[in-house]
Amino acid sequence: MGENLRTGPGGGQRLFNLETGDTARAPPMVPWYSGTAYFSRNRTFQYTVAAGVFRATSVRAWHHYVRCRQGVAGQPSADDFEKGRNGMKRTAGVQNREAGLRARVIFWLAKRRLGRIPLSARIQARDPKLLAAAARMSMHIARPGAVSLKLKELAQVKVAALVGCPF
Amino acid sequence: MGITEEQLRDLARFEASAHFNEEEKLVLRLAVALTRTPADVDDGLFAALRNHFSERELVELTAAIAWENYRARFNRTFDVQPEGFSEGKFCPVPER
Repeated sequence: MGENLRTGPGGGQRLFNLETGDTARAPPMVPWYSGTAYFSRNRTFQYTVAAGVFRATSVRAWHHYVRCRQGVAGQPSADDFEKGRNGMKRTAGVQNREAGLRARVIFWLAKRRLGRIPLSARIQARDPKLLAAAARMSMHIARPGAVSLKLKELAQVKVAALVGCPF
Repeated sequence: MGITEEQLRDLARFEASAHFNEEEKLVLRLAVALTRTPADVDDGLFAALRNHFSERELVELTAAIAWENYRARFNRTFDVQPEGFSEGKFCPVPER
């Protein structure tokens, strides 16, 4: 379980303290930060840090990076992975077998794009039309438009940090 | 393109950081203004934003910020845990 999760040096240690700005223990650019991050057992997302520039395909990847840098993400244990895989505490949301056509299509799209179905999608699937609208809105926001994606992502990450969102 | 590592580090203290340009700082100010309660964008900030962004651009930015608020807050009711990461720890940028 979790055997395919990529490991990196310093996993689980506090690497960077954002409050104090303590970067002394932040490691140099190691594969942890400059390669592939785990996301699920079967799928990974990519991000790279090269020449001090972070590149990723999603805000989720950005969050993973921040969490690692702050030393709070660390390396997940197999248990963490299994719990995180469900991400569940209060509800498991709509399971595949009980999902209607609309929800199934969106689940399929999410799995294709993210490697798995986020719990928040399963929960929103209790109202399939809400799920469809939310998915559409998310996809729309993620497209480049009049402003650069970087600006949008910067704003979104700031919001997520303020609200305390569990990525 | 791309968010720099310095920007990641300085996100919580972006106002004092030299790693954000004025445009980026304005966007971050808007994000903060729209995320706090009560949400309020004062005339000064709006005027500064309008100097840098067209109305269309402002609509996009506002939508992105408002939508992220929806996504980030929705999960709190159900206490959705970080998915695939370590339990009980969420994007912990200490900004409160």
